[in-house]
Amino acid sequence: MKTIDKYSHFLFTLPALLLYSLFFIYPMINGFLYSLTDWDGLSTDKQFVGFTNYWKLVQDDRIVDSLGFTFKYALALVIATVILALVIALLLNRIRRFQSFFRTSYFFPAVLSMITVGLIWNQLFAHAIPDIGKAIGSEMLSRNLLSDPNWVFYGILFVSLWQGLAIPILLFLAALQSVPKDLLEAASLDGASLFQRFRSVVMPFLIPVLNMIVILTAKSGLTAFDYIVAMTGGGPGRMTESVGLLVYNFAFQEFKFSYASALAMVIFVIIGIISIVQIRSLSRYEVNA
Amino acid sequence: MIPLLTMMLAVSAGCSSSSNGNTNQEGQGTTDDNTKKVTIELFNQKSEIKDNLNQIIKDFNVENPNIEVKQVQVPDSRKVLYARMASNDMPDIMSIFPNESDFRTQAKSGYFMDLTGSDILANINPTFLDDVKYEGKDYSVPLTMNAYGIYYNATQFEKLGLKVPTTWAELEQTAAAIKEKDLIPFATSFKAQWSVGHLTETLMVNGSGLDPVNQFFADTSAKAGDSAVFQKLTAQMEFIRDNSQPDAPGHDYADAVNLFATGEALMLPQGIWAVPMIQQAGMQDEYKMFPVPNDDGKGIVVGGIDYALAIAAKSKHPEEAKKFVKFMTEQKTAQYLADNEKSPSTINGVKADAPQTEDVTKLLTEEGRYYPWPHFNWQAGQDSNWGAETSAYMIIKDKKAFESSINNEFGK
Amino acid sequence: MANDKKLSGLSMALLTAGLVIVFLPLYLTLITAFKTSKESARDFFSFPSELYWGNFLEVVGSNNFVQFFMNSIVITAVSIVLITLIVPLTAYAISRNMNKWYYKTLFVLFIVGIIIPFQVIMLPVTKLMTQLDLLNRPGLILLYVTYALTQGVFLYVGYIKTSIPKELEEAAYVDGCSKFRTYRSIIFPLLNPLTATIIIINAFWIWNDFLLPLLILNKSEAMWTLPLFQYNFKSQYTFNYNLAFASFVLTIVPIMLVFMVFQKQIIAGLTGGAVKS
Repeated sequence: MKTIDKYSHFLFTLPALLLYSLFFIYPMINGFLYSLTDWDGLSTDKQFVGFTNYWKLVQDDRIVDSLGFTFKYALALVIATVILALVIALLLNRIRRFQSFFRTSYFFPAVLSMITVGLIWNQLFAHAIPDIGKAIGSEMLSRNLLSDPNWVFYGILFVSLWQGLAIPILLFLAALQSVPKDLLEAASLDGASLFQRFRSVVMPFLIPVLNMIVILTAKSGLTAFDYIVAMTGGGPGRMTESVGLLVYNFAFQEFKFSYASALAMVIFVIIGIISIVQIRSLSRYEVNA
Repeated sequence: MIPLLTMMLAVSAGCSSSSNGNTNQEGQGTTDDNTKKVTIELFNQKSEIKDNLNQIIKDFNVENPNIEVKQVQVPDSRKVLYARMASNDMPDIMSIFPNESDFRTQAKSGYFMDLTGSDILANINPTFLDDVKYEGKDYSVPLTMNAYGIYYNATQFEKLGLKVPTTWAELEQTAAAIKEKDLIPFATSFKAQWSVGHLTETLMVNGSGLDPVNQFFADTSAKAGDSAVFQKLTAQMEFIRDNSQPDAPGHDYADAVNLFATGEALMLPQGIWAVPMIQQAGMQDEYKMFPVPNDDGKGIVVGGIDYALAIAAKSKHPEEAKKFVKFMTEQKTAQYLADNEKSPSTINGVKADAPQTEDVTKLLTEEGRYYPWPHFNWQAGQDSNWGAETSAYMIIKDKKAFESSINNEFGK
Repeated sequence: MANDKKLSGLSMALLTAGLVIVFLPLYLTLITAFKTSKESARDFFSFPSELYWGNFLEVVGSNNFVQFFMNSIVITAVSIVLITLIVPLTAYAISRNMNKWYYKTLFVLFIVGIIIPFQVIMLPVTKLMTQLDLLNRPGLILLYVTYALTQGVFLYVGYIKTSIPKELEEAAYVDGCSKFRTYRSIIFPLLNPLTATIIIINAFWIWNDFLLPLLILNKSEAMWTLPLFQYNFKSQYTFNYNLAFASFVLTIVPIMLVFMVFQKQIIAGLTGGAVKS
């Protein structure tokens, strides 16, 4: 019994280790090996070509554009989510009546599937919004914003927020409600302004949820796929081709499987570095606060 | 912990095999005992004919009670089929697109059964077979065709005293006349990239001829902008754009069809596959289709094989699979399909009764009037890239960017 | 105090305006589901002239709707049970051994996995699942459990580090409890708030996921989940919006009911793990 107990922490991790090695790490390694070949995904023969695919990647404008779009989108999504969710949570925390009704309503979009949300909004952008635009005489809104090169980015961002704000709002609200009332009262007796009270009293209670929200949102921004497939298919042209969609298109539409794998490896490294840096800096902040 | 885990898995595995008992177990039986039922999988990539296929399977079972044909039809089927091929998990029979380059790659890699000389192909019009041979061999069984043209609202045309245009100049006049009546000449959908791709491929072949077009794409030494083919294409694209509904950049395929069906737009450049959608949108007026007109006054039709089947080279039940595909090529079956699905058949002696599209589809068998889609000669995925690029030009109107994207795409 | 009241009123007004944006799409989904294609073609925005039930009848009648529904429920439920068993256990072992290289490496590997787009490993995974003969519901469940590990372990480790003092379990060891007993009877119950959060986030994800079921369950319609069925109304040359929207309504309604019945627990559970009391 004692000897088993000595290894029991290792045994605790064993199922996860097996699953993760088999269904994540092994496919990753496989993907890396494919990226060193010229395999198209279909042929029965393939040849080792070294790092040729990686050299080609560097020269491909489509990849640069796609990475640019994805990072811009993820960054905008994180910033907008944090600000809007916090504002809505503060508003919800203010009201005295119907709080649970509003809270439930704002949470509702979270229960829908991304594909469904994308297909529904695709219709709204094509019909409902132009109808409203025509009714109020706004030329900008009279068009399908998803086909407008200047607006498509914000169109997709808007839909991601429509659904993506739901959980962050709840998290912020719960954090706000966990701030002890007497702390706030003491601060306002000391003559602290609204902003000062927020920064010195409320903020420390928000940091842990902020951490969680940033991670969850960054994940959904960097891996954007479903909304884009349902709404623009990467268009107009290639303006909204996220890296997830690009890998998918390379591998499954253009039959450049090894090339897609090389791109996947590059994304893996870039995102891996970013996420480690992000997690480190956020958790340091948490300890200090 | 571990016993519990295995128990949970056993529970979920149990529910899967009970409701789904015949997918693997019977399908992989190796002995073809006469009394035992054999299950073959038919992977269908055209959801529109799912119900028709089920009826055909029923008829097939009257003669062949021991062969169960299981139809599988999934969203995003082409990618799914590709993933299954790459994983060595092919269906026995699958619908494929034998004109396309990915099919040739697959045929080259030996995924499909060689049907050259087989009696399965006996009923098929040889012209259509020639188009889809790979290195002189038959790996596919083409069953129906598609074709591209311009739908027009015949009732409104008559009311407004418009003639069906037979030259490009007449088409321009017709569009101008429609515009004068405050109606929309063309219902188009620039947001649907594939639909702009189809439209522009047709315009090119019609405007410049198939050989110059093929040469345009194959010639990597000349820049796109220097080519007459490219200049003519962009001019015609601009003409279509200027005569489309103002919302065309934001419209999807269904929106364009609706606009035509409600009589707001009088012409719809589209393939024959749009007929069920037009019907569904509640088209009241009479409508027909004319071939895209050109300067010679002789319209042409661009098209290709629409529905075709192939058998997996490694099928566990090759004889049964062949039997079913043979059944699909029998006149009786083909006629049933033609009557219900309305696409022109490749089977000798079978005629689809589709008066709306017949002015265009009859050209499929006319010498010198039928041309295959240019993208059949391209690499895999280039057709969807072409769609993205032409759609971007229709929406963003940046000719320089369009030209350089074509140069990039085709290595110019 | 008067100031407070004014703020409350203003907040109410802003939130009500926001509700329009939240509910407009749902309203339009509902009315489209009750229209015929012809009516939608004429006017997308207007209220249906009469309630047309045909779309719903066609959706339910022509398909194995109940079967898809059950598949979604079984797959989600079994995955969630396994996730609840494995993820906190792993995270607990990691958080108590962060000074050892094995656990540290494991942790980093999980974190890296959080933000990788699935498309990156999609084809090798499909290939692997075929080789293992796991193109079925158990196979899909194993994948969900695996991919839930990344984010789950990350959240649990943070939570255990800050909320569960080591002294607790040391007292238990003194009493002679084994490590597993200690975990099961002392640690796991303390993790309940976060476990509820994890369950809810993963349940929504699995219930609504499209790409994994498409790749793993494509062999037989009998195995399909609801999102596959919904997406099937769209093919290249057709998209019957009215049928699709009717199917959206049919899948939204049950989840809405579940949500309304359990909203208190769901919202409490979702926030419990994130907020330290």
